[in-house]
Amino acid sequence: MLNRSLSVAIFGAIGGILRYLLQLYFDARFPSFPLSLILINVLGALLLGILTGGLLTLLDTSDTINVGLTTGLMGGFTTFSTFELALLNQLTVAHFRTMIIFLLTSVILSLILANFGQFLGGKLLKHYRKDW
Amino acid sequence: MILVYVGMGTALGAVARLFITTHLNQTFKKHAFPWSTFIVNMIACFLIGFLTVTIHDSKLKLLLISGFLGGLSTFSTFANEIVTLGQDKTTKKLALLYSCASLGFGIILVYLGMQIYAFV
Repeated sequence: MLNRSLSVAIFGAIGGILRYLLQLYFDARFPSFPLSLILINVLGALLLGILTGGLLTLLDTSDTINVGLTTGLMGGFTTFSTFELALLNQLTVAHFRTMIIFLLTSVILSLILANFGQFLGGKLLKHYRKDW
Repeated sequence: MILVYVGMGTALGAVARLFITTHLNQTFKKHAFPWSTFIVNMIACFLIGFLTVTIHDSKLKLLLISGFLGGLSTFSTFANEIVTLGQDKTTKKLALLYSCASLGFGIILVYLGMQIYAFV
């Protein structure tokens, strides 16, 4: 559990810093719409799908690295709490249209890309491991 | 220096999630519903509401809100669990229930977290 925790901590720190940098970059350019959160969460959903869909099996990495990449890197990169806070903020200032657009784009795109990611991960595994 | 706060906070949050979900996965072994992700995300929603109105120091905000709660909560696992539940006919309804419950209770818990400040 110590190795797993260290791996999750190190990869988690990287994921959190990447998220923060993307937020800084996009929030300065689009101050009225949380575009950064959509990008972060959708990209994270896609990458986690690829990893768990077959890439981790293909790479044959250790369980310690795997938990670092999934729970650490992708868990640290994406965020559910800030997403829900943004929804509530839009609701309280009565930006209903913005809230609906933000909610639907985030959820629909992340589901499509998580699905595609899992598919792609599986394809990669089959392509490089004919015996699988 | 700012990045150190975010990085440290996220590291702690992600490790907290690892411990909580490892424990909860044992408890909810037989459940198809992703209780462990649901519970950590709901805790993080309540805390972000509470901390947003109680913390005013910018460094502490980076450490706890951008960092710790960002690391504790996860959107990527949430999305992938819905997809996995949706692919199986027997758990299709659970996918809808899980997504609606997470999104709905999440926003309510952020609100409650903000309101509870008035009582403490």
